[in-house]
Amino acid sequence: MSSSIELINPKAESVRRAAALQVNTTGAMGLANVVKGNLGPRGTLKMLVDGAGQIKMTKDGKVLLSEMQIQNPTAAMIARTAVAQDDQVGDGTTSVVLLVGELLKQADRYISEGVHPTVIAQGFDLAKKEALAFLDSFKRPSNLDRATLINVAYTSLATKLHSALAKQLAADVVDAVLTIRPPPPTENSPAQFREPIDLHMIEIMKMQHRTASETQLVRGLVLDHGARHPDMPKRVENAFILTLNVSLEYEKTEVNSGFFYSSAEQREKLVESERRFTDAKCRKIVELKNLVCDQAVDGTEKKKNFVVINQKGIDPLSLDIFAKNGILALRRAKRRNMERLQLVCGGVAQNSVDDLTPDVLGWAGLVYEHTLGEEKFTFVEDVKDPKSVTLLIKGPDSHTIQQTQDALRDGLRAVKNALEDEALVPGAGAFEVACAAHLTGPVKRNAKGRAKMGVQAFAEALLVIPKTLAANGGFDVQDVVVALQEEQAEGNVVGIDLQSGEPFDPTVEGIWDNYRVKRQMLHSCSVIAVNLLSTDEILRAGRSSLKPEGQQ
Amino acid sequence: MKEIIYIQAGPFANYIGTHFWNTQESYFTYDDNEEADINHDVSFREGLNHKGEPTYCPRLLLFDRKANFGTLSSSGGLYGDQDELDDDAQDSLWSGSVDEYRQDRIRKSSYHAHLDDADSTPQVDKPESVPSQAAVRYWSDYSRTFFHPRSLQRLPDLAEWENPEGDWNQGRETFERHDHASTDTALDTSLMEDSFRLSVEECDHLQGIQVLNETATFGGFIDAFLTSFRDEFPKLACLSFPLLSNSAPRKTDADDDLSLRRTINDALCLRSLDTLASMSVPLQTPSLWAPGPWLDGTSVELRSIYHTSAVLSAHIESATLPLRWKGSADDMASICGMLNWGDSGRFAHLSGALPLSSPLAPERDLAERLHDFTSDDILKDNADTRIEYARLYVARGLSPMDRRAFDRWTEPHRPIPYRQVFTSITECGAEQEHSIYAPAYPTPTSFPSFFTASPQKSYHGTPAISALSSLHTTPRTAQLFAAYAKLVEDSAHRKADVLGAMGLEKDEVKELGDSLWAMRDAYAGAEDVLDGEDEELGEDEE
Repeated sequence: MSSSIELINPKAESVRRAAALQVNTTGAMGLANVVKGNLGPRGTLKMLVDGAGQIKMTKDGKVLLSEMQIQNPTAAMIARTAVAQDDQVGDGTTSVVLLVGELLKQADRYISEGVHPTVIAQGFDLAKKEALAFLDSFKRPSNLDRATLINVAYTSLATKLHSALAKQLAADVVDAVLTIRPPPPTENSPAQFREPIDLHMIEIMKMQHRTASETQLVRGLVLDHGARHPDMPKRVENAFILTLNVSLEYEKTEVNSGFFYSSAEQREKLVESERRFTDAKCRKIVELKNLVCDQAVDGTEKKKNFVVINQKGIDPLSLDIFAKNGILALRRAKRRNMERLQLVCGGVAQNSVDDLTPDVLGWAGLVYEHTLGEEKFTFVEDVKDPKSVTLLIKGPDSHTIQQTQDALRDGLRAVKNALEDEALVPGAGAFEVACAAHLTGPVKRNAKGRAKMGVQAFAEALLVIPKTLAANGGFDVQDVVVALQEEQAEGNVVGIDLQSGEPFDPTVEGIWDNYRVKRQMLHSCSVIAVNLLSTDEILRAGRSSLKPEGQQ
Repeated sequence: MKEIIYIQAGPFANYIGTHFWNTQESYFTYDDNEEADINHDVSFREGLNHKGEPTYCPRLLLFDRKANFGTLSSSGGLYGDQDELDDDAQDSLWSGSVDEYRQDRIRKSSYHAHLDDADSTPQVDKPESVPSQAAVRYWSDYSRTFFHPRSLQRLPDLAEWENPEGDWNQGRETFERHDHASTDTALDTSLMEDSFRLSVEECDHLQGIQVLNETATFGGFIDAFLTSFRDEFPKLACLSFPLLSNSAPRKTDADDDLSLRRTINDALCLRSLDTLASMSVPLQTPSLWAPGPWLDGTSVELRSIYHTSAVLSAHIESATLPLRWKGSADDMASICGMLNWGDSGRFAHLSGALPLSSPLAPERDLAERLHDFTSDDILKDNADTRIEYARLYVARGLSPMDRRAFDRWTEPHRPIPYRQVFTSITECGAEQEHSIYAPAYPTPTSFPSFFTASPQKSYHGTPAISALSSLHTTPRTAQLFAAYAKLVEDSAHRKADVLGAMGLEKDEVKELGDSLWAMRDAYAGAEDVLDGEDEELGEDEE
């Protein structure tokens, strides 16, 4: 049974038909076994310690899949799809991996009884189409008030964090997204759709300090650097903010000009004239400062201050000029902070100092520096009507911070998805139970011929989600599934209560999933399962062999 | 103060880099009365760790696959978190159960164990602590410096069937994934916005970046990095040392797809550096080095990267010494400008001899032993026949007599832009005022002991050797580009499938060939003789 490829390249190995499918099924189920412990709020946290003793704590399927060195090609392919799912919608990695594993496992049952894989694949395609249609009827359009959104955020955060912390952060996450959300289009604007939410406008700042419970929302901007001059003020109130993208460093005019001076004196002169050019730019900024901050000495007015935040560099001599004039200046701000600053403080970022006017300036009530060891943070706070905010993550060590950040990231995506979908799906496995019933019922009845088997397999595979939730909660899987199905048959929306193991209505408890996550999940898992089922030959000419996994 | 930010990418680059930083560390003077020769603030940053202790770490971003870091962890060293988990902190984050997956702890290298011992019992005999070649498993095994956590950029490991060598696009994707600037996964860290920008923010007056990278594994990566860098810093100097792959264009077997890929990938790197870097010094990989008289006086094991990286590091360190040197009038821009005199081109050669004998015998030491690490043929860097545009010599540890001999020997061959940086040995103080003072090349215990004679000189107590390193621009670079151009053109016709697999369109390959010819023409100039040779060689290949 030698494959044609082996005739050409004797080193190549090939496995075909049943054996090829076996390789794929084993790989998919193996991967599913690794991640299944992650699912849901009762899943286990994984602690990864590498050879150098570095610790990583995660419950995120995406992080786990990218940290693990997956050496089985099938598993790597699934992992890649799952990670792509995360990139697109921000969640559902673990579910996709579980579903692919389960789809292949169910398919295997039929195939071992002699059904051809393409028949199953046809059934999967049909089932996917029907499941997506069912999802559209199952989702709940929602008006998405703050309370509902907090439930959405909590559902997401609680799968990654302690419930008390999740509760605290859920509100921050929702407020952050609501602040940066673009306003609805006005009646007569040409584009009649709302701008998408740009999560880049939420700055995430990390401070290795104190505990995770001090993670907070800052209505303003936190920058990860401070002033580089000892005489600059550390704290100013009532400050004008100039956002700048202009180099205030002495620069040689030509890269190789160094070579053409004939004397040191000539060189000095050139340096001096170039220096004057930089000084002139600083002086223009100082002039603007004097213009807006000029106050009567004994006036009762609150003192006005001036802050320069520059994306480009500011050299020590320029810093000196600013310090002498009482200006707080920061150099090398993040590129994205140029945009954020305009949203936080108002004003317009400037690419040149040539036509500075008072109306390009933003304003903040308070700007202060916070030093933590060698790190400096500059808080721009107390602003009018910010359109951009900062989530400040705190934690005693880097892996705690990372873990909080992973959770926040998911939470933010969940809230954004909900707002943009304008709909939610009842969580806690409710959709999967209902969809499985729908598929085994009307869909299977209407399916023609042997495609029925694929539909049946798909329906059973969906149940892996509530089953895994139950198993991770420590409940008897069969009992739970039967109870859920019975309750569902009476026409109720029903999910599993992970506190009691009993069926309950997730909409009452506020357990919501994202519509687009479920849609993407159904889509990716069936595409990849069909691909794997249709594989009838696997070739390998590389270094390692196609031996079954688990032998390492 | 003119700071440099260093970039290292790839395992071999990090081997070289580790030697480089060990050498920097050996320049430190701890005695207040001793004046440091090197302006350490150029390459090092001051900081504070979480315990409030001062730190002094390289201004460095190093990139490698996770598996190559060995025992080096970003949570260890000066900025150490506690190794074990703090249970209280953990409870506040997660109340559920925790599964642990532990990889076997990598054993501390014998050299590090020895250094630790020496710390507690200072009487331990020093020479014995030299790491043996067999004991070096990772480049971190013989490192004597502590790195800032930001310096260590771990890239995810690849699955065993993926071969990153010669995969240009994959390298670019790796950068995109690591940088995240363009993706929607908003909340991940971004290399350029975080680590790199923060390193720049610390600098008062950055003179430039110095890049040392492998082309085979990190060519595309560095291309993407430099493109992004140029976006923000259009004028800043960038001196790069690309380490070429082991597929030299003259020797590439056109039927070996992998080696063809590597060669094309090298060609892409060179073209990219031509536009992005101020000056590039391509280096041939040690597996293509031919033994010869240049290795006299050493027992360098050419198959050991621990040894060969030490040789390259010594020359790179010496050649760039003027950039870090106290009181030096040169900076990266002026050195690049000098080498690129008359706009002759953006590629230079690195050559050198190590160690020099004392007293210096120019005929032997300079004519025979000066090895060109850039040229891809075995012709010596022969001073009599060569034509060159510009040259920078850095000679280390020469006695006044040696210096005169050296001067006499170089005098007839000096190109117009010519600079030499002399160094004298510490012992002969009398003559120092005549030349700029810089030390012999120190060889700390981490430096492989491959010298047949033990180092006679010393630098602040560290054994040191004399050496000569040189950067020069010459028409011979034309040969290198011609060979690449020819191969690229050939493969455009015959190997479309390999190029297709690399994601290159036929037009792109044509364009690549054309730019390589253009780069070659920039160097060809006077040397028609060499062109003739090329023609012949080309025909042989057909």
